[in-house]
Amino acid sequence: MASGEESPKTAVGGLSVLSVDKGDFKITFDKNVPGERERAAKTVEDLLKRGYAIMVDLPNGKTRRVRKFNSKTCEYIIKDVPPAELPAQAPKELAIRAETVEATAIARPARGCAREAW
Amino acid sequence: MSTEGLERFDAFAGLRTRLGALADLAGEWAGIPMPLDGHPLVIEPTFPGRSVLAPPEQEPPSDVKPRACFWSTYRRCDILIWEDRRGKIECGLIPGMHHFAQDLQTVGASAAWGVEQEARAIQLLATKLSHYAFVRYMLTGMFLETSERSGITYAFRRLRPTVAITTRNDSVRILCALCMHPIAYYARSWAGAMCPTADVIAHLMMMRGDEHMYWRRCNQHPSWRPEAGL
Repeated sequence: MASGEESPKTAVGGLSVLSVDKGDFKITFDKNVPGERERAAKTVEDLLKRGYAIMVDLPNGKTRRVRKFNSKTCEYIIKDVPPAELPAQAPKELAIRAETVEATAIARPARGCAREAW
Repeated sequence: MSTEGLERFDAFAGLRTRLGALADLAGEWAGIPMPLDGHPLVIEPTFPGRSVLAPPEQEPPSDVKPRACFWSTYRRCDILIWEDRRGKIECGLIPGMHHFAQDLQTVGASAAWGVEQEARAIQLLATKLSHYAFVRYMLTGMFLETSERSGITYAFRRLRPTVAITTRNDSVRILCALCMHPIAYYARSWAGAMCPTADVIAHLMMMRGDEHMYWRRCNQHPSWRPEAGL
């Protein structure tokens, strides 16, 4: 696994969870608030367990889906998918510190506007 | 503003807040969809409270055997063909959705959303888009974005399915309309359980983050189906 992505010096990131009753709410990984990182790590693990899709905005402007989460180091594990013109290249796994990036969690979808069942 | 204050203007604010508190207790991070009279919910199959919140799915009658179902553009209907218990082939029509009826249902279902939630979602969307795209969204309810990976251009629309467009060989062609709502949506409407802009964010982020998964998780409506909203 590659080491963590190059990150901004200040901790600005967080995870926005799309929600019915709140629009969205934000989970932060602030090291200065006691217990906050642990709570946030547990939340992210639970979100992934429940099938939420977590999309992380990388510093290079790309967005990738989180595959796993390392709760000890608070790092998102993503697969850096190669461009379409290079399909033979295997995707690389990258670890990204959660407090350095913005991410969005989306609940499992119900699809939509389906044809009436008969 | 306090919940009491909001309730003076929005009759559903109290219920929304209580459902939110219930969702927090149950550990449902994305909340619980609001049940509305006359607007049946269609909920994601693994959602824990699905059997309570949504009406059970209708099964086809057990004494008939479905044979075919196809869309007739001429009649603007789905045509059903089935075999009855005596082996006789019968047919019937299911009228396609009427765009205005679907719009009216959406207006009814909008009672589930609050301005506060929509405002928060708009603020989040603003952080995800260029200034140009965000202004287009605020003024027209839609914006375009082209996928770097596939080259497909997506028209993300508020309260309508996202339209996937290809512009290869100097011609513009609609591939399909992609319809998806996180957790749940209200049947026969364009309304999802979440406020409209939260749905748009879900489409945008899934397209950017994992385009294959995005297509897999959406209903793909051909452009000529009324469900495409075109």
